Amino acid sequence: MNVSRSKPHMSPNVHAMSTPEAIIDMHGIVKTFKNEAGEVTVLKGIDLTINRGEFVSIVGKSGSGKSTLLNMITGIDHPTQGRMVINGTDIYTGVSESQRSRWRGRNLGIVFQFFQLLPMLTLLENVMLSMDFAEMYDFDERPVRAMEMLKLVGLPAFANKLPVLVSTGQQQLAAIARALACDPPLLVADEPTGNLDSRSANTIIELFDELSRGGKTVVMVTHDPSLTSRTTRNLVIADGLIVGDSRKMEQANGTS
Amino acid sequence: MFVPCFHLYCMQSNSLNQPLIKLRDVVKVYATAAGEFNALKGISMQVEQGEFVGVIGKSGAGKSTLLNMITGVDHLTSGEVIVSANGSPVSIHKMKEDEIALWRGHNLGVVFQSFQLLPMLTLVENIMLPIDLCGKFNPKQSRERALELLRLVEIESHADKFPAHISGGQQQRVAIARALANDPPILVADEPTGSLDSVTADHIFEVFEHLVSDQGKTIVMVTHDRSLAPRFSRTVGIVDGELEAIGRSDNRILEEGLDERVSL
Repeated sequence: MNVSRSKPHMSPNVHAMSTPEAIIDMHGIVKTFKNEAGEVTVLKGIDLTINRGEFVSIVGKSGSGKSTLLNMITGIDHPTQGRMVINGTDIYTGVSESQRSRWRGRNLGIVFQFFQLLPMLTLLENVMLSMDFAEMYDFDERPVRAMEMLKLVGLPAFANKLPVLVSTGQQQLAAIARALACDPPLLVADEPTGNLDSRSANTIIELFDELSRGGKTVVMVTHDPSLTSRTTRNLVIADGLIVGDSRKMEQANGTS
Repeated sequence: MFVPCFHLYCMQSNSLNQPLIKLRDVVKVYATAAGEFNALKGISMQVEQGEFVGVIGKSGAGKSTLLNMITGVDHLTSGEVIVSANGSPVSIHKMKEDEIALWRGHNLGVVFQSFQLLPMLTLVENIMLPIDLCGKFNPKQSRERALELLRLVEIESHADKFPAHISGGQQQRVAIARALANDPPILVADEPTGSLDSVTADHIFEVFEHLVSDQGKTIVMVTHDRSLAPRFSRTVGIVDGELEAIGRSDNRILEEGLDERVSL
């Protein structure tokens, strides 16, 4: 599979602390929410490094903090404390708010449990949308690139269909095509199979596996422990802390 | 670049005499495992420019299916849907999917119950997307236009926030601003207040009312809530895929031959 495109999109603001292998490097990430009942600390000091090309699952029960952790990685939410370096850039000090969407478009693709396709737009248009803020493709190039991505996920025949007219599995494939449109090195997915039947879920996991083998880094949050056998590394989160890491266990056992 | 051929679907009659939206004998049949389900049973109705029409019915009555016929989101089984949004009447039911997508971007704004904002984009970016996609406005001015629309729905101060960081009512205001992105003459709204508390729902209705009175928009909204009927300029009831009643006798929603079935 070749999903790359030969346009450079390295950030000029490269962080000195991050190793070349690390695509995600987080230190002391704390997230505290304030509500009427007081303060709730959902992430309690996460230290985590994820290397390029890894296919990582993060499992945890509802409320464990796994989706909040993903929101820290994507920049959809900000940590209360800590440092987050993604693809060489400290995303909270190295990218201005106004540049964040451009940076995100070029560096990471996001896949959601409920797909988040815009219902009044065709699949092709939905894929084109993600190119809007990355400034990598001219307007005339975008339909061509979007069709390439739909071909990659096996949906070229459905390009002009609205989301409501295709299956949920196909909607998720289209959402992955959208996430890949700007050729980001990192894909993050929040319960991507949580709304799918087992056959469609298998198709999605196979696609992630293929993307990972092709050089993409895939980080997937799931509540389904059975999916951990399909990924190259498994993390367990509980009460806002990483309490299990298969890579550390392998290192300790001398099997990595 | 794809060039739409709307003229192929345009009728030759004088648009001045055409209603903005005209449905004639619209039937929609779904094939299900249990057999065929007749969701719309020959709907005929018209909507004039500047109306704020409420289509009221219970869950399963066919109101969202009816809306999908107007927006071209779904295909009718038989009948006609003709929309005269920009002068010439266009036969929606004859258009291809790629053509209707382009037409919809220019002529229809859609508002959903669940807002449907993209969570990874800020509010202003959510509105810029359809502006850039449609090509009606200069892309260099899309942020400025998006901010103007956020100002219209009184939420400009939150422009650079993400949807997750504002309330449901505020998200629906943003969704309305997005629906207006390309200045369409028609807005359709599917239960837009269904996820909101009554005070917030009232604010959203005020936004719609201003869009009709101040901006000249035409709005077709479906809802299950009969208590909302007084807020519309006209209401249409729908029961089991058939029109039930209308709110005002002086409106010309009735086609000849339907008067007995659709009565006050």
